[in-house]
Amino acid sequence: MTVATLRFQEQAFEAEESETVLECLLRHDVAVPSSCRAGVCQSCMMQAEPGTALPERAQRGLRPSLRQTGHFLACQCPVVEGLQVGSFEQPSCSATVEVVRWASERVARVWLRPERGLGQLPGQFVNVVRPSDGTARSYSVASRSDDALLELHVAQVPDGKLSPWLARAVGETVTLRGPHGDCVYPEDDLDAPLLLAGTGTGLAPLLGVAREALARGHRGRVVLVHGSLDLDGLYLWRELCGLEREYPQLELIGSVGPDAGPYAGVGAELLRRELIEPLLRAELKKLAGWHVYLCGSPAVVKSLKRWAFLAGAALDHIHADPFEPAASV
Amino acid sequence: MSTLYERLGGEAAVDAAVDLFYRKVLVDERISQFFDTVDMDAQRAKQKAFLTFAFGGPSAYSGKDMRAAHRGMNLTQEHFDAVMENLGATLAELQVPAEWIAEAAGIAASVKADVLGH
Repeated sequence: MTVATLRFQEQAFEAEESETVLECLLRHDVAVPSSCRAGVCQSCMMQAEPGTALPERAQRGLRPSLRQTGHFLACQCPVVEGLQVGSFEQPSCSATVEVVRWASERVARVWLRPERGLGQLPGQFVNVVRPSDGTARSYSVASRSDDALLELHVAQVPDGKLSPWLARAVGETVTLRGPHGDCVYPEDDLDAPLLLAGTGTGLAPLLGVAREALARGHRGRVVLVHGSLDLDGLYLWRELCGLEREYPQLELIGSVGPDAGPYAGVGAELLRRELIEPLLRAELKKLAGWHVYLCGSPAVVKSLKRWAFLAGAALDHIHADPFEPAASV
Repeated sequence: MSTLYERLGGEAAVDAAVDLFYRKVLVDERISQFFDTVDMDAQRAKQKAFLTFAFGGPSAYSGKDMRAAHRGMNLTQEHFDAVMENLGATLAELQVPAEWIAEAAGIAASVKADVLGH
């Protein structure tokens, strides 16, 4: 006897009394991964339409950032009428490229005006699609949710399929899909110390989270570390120094390689000639209670994630966003 | 009469134990190669499932699942003992009484043959 309808990826599935989302989909031969069926292994994790009320049981064990973004365990979630689950890349929305400013030779700051709000949280990423040929690339959101324009930092990839075009695309329309990603500010923890560390345009999501933290009156330490092999790679250094002067709880550290040239400009006293990994290992020994955000170079992110965990940060509180390059076709 | 899982503190106890256990195995050179994977969240979920099972908690894992999961890893008695040692050390750090640690060890040891592929 059908008691509820479950919507999954545009299809409707009739659910029986007290069936879970997993049971219902498996019964209809939809291949949802699963293993323990006990709410522990998380193989069956799915995402519900943002804003859906989900039972506590179905989100138990999930890190807060996943709960915030509507993720849940299908084996623990009874089907209720009208429940919509699946991937939420669709629907997408259009956006116009309004402003482009070059922050350095290699990084363009691009501001987009979306036709409607995507509900993205600062630090998450969106997939930007060029409508003419469907080329899509992911960029993290550096702006806050209530900013009118979405700010992206677009690193220029030599012979890249999208980045050179996007940096010259004022007036053009793109399609945005998403949002995705785990680098979100923990809304309910104003006193937790935050470590925001990244390389290259990994700064974009870190800046998003930092701006959000500061705007919300975050009381804990906010330690922002931007690393690059050369000085050019610290593409927003002056602006970060401005932020540091304005907010006492923000601690800024710039990391450049030992071969980087001399620098005597703004914020020279905040610059260290040491690569980001050894710098962090020396600077911070105990990370219990910290929220740690790691974005940028995949090798650095993975290595720092392990370090942060061993230094005492809870895995739930380590938000890693490795910027994997697009696979070449 | 409560179960070991209830006595230990249920899911909250597993959550407290899993990060401790995971950190220990990551730096234990006898077995770290099995746990030092890139997808740390997936690895942690596996640890959590293992500890839930070892604490006598709800788990639908069968011996067959355990056997399949560890197939082809060439695990030895030494590897198994190292994991058990870290499990014991984790529980001791959480100040769990020795008798209860022995009970959890017993449950974990019950799948030894499946884990080692014997």
